Amino acid sequence: MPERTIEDRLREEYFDLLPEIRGVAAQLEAELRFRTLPVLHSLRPYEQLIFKSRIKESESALGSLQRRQEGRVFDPQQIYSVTQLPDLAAVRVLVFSGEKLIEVDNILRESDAFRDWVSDPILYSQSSLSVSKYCGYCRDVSVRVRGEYQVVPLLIANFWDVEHAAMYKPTGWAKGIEHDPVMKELRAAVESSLASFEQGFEKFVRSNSAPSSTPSN
Amino acid sequence: MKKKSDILLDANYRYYFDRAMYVNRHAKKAFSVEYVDDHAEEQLRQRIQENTGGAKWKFYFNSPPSDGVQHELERELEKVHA
Repeated sequence: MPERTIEDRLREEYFDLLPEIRGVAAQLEAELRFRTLPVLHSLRPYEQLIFKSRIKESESALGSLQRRQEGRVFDPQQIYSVTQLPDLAAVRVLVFSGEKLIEVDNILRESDAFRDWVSDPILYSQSSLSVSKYCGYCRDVSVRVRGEYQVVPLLIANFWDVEHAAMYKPTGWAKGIEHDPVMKELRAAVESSLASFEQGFEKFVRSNSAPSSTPSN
Repeated sequence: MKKKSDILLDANYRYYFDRAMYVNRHAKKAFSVEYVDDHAEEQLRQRIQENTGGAKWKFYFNSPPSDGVQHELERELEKVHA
């Protein structure tokens, strides 16, 4: 009988943990929705607040762990666990406008549920902009599986969805594209122009809207 | 100023996507992307010029690979780059 590989053991661990991973994703999304209800009820007609949760698939989890190793090889002398990953269960909070995004981020950071979560912002490619990202435990559900949430501008998040699906998901289709200097520049240009659009839109709305257009609480 | 990746490409290293390393099979040397990122261009040039004899593979990693990892990489590089 062939010896079990590190990958075999990690797959087994992943599927043992899967019910807990699902539980963390559900708990995290419910918690985020609950904490941001005041923001939801104060949205202006053009503003949006959307939640997208996802569970990392087993092969993605293995790939993520492997990419953390120099040379992308698991060391047989080391012990690995999928619980080393901070994002087995993750929720993206997508917000438009920027003003609401700051409000959402502040409410969540200051809430009891996420007070001890660790901040690990995502830097946009080749730019000084960043997106808030936090990871920690939903202790009522699991003390083994960490969850992650991001508070992301809606426009950027939609671009990332399309970009990620096109560039990374079809295995082998665009291998190494993330290191291509031309694609890096194009990606940075898109992110920068989406951020500029959002800032320009908000500036326009602020300088043109009548005071009565603000919803009353 | 040249980019570090250009320095390696000019020295006949090729990027090996599966392992995120720059590899020169004639020199039997490989640089991890983490090593390239964390070292200055001058250090990189010195390592490229370093004479390792060419009999055994030399891996420039931030954390030296264990015997098991080194063996796995050697086996794969000999096969892929044969």
